[in-house]
Amino acid sequence: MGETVVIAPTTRNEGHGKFVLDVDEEGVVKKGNFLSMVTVRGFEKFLVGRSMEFAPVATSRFCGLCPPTHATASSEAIERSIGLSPPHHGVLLRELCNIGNHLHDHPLQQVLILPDFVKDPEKTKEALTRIQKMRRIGQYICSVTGGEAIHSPYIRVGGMYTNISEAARDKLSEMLGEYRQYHEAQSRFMEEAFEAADVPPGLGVNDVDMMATDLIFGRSDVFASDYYPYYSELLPANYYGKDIGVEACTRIPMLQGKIVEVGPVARLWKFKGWREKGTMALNRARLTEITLRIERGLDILRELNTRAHTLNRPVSYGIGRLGIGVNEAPRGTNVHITRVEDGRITFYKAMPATMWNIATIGKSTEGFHYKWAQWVMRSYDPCISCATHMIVMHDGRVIEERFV
Amino acid sequence: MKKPKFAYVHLSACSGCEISFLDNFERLLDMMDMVDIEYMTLIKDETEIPKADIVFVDGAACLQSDDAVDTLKKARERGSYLVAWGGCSSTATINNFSRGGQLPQPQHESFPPIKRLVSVDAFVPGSPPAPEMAYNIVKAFVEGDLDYLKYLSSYSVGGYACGCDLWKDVVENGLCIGCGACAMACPTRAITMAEGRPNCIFERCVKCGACYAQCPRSFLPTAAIEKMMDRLREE
Repeated sequence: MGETVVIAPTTRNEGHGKFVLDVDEEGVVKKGNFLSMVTVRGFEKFLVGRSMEFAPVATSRFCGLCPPTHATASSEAIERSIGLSPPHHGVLLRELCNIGNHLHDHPLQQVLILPDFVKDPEKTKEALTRIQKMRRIGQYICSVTGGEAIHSPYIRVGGMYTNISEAARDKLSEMLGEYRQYHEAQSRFMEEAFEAADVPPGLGVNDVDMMATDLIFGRSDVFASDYYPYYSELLPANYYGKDIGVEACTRIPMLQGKIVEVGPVARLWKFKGWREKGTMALNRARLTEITLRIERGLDILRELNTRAHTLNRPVSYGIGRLGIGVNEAPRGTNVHITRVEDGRITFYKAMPATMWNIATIGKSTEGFHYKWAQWVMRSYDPCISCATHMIVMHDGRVIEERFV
Repeated sequence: MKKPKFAYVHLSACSGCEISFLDNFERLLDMMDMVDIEYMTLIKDETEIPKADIVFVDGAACLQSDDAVDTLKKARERGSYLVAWGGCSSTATINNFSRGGQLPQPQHESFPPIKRLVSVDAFVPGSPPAPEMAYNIVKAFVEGDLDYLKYLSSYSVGGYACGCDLWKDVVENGLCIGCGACAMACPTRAITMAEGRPNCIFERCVKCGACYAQCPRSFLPTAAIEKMMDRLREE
């Protein structure tokens, strides 16, 4: 008979996660469950009755790693509910703000996986210094375009609060060029480390479907037409089974009754013909994504008219229509759904990237020894605060086993 | 002197303050030279809060979760100097709006500022505080610079906060000098200056307390002012 292995809390990921794994005699995972342990702050409830302007401010506080994506998806959901479209250059600037966020967040994942791949303290320090230089540039782009590096207040309903100056445009272009150099060195470094690692082939490969709306920015219309009609969610007891599920209470979003994967591999799969899956493919996909984002950032800076209007004012304040706002967060598709009536929110729902992935992470650990579970988890770079504005897990009645 | 031990405890919050901590970029490595980062689940493998000389607590503890309250108490027991790092722990910030009722854990509704549960040695409001604050606090702690920490140790910096503190405590007492520091400090741009005085757009206020903490007039000796008022009344 096998037994249950619990890894709690998981480390080197955002927030507090927990693995409940059914393993056989050799320790190979037969059934993998990944759950969150962060308390429910109840954003979807406290937004009801508040003014629509508050939603991007509040939802960007779901998560401190990827706040622009929530502000963007939230603003877009409201815009689509009240029938307002932001000006072209406002959208460009928003995308640039999100690119800045991706350029800080993707390297951050390398910080988290570094101890798994690099043992030499000198090399680690060298890589950390380079990553921090990259993150500085990413956060700088965010703070110039979004007003602050964390929780960008300039992302508003109707566009962006203010345009950037001509001098800022020049400086950002220059910094992206500098970023490219660091990234090239860092990519080589990571590739070497990945080559040298003895990760079992096929680790983390799963058979779930991929979901992505865009290669870089995210498209609400694509989600609304291609995915939303097939959306359903399961209560945890139905998904995990009664033993874990009743206490786990993890709502599981699904498409056509099946869990999906979102994130770097899903985006490259849908839009770049990428055909690799698994833990190492995810780690490598992030490196490719950084390159794509640097180039797109430079394109935007070339196209942006710094004298253009970036904010449109609402004409109507809403009659309670459903608005779906979607943005591609560093970790995958982030969906916000709202209804706005007379400028006030009457309904709010968010499905951040990690919420889509949380069941997939558990499933991807299956078929390998449980010591690899955290490697799989880290490749998804789960952001549990995002997912757990609504998900929670209390200690189950299972054999407790902790290891590092 | 032995290198002080540092622990970072994360409760209900968004991790933005943790990222702000990491956003010291290359200086983070200097901070690692000043203190031993023993516990910080975002970047370290340690899973149990160790005994530490300085503890940063980020986020509020949910009263309806025994786990969260225990973690906070453990952080207090094992940490000699406890810093409420960021808005969610010092003033509860966005958690102030929580009203529970959300599946799958509808009972989670109370997220008070941590000073209501444990004693706090220093408050750093802000949503999030600037990265430099983390550096400065760690540096001041290691060097024993009590003058720097004194300002953050004032109990009026922590606890429930709102943009209207500026009116209630500063403008109403005739202390406002119209410098605009509050507007500059506001992380959501909820404060503008109108007629030389702060104007708070409450729809954007997340109740982080950064404005009041930043106000150069909020730290006037209020006891002395009270005395002055008493004297005026007697005359």
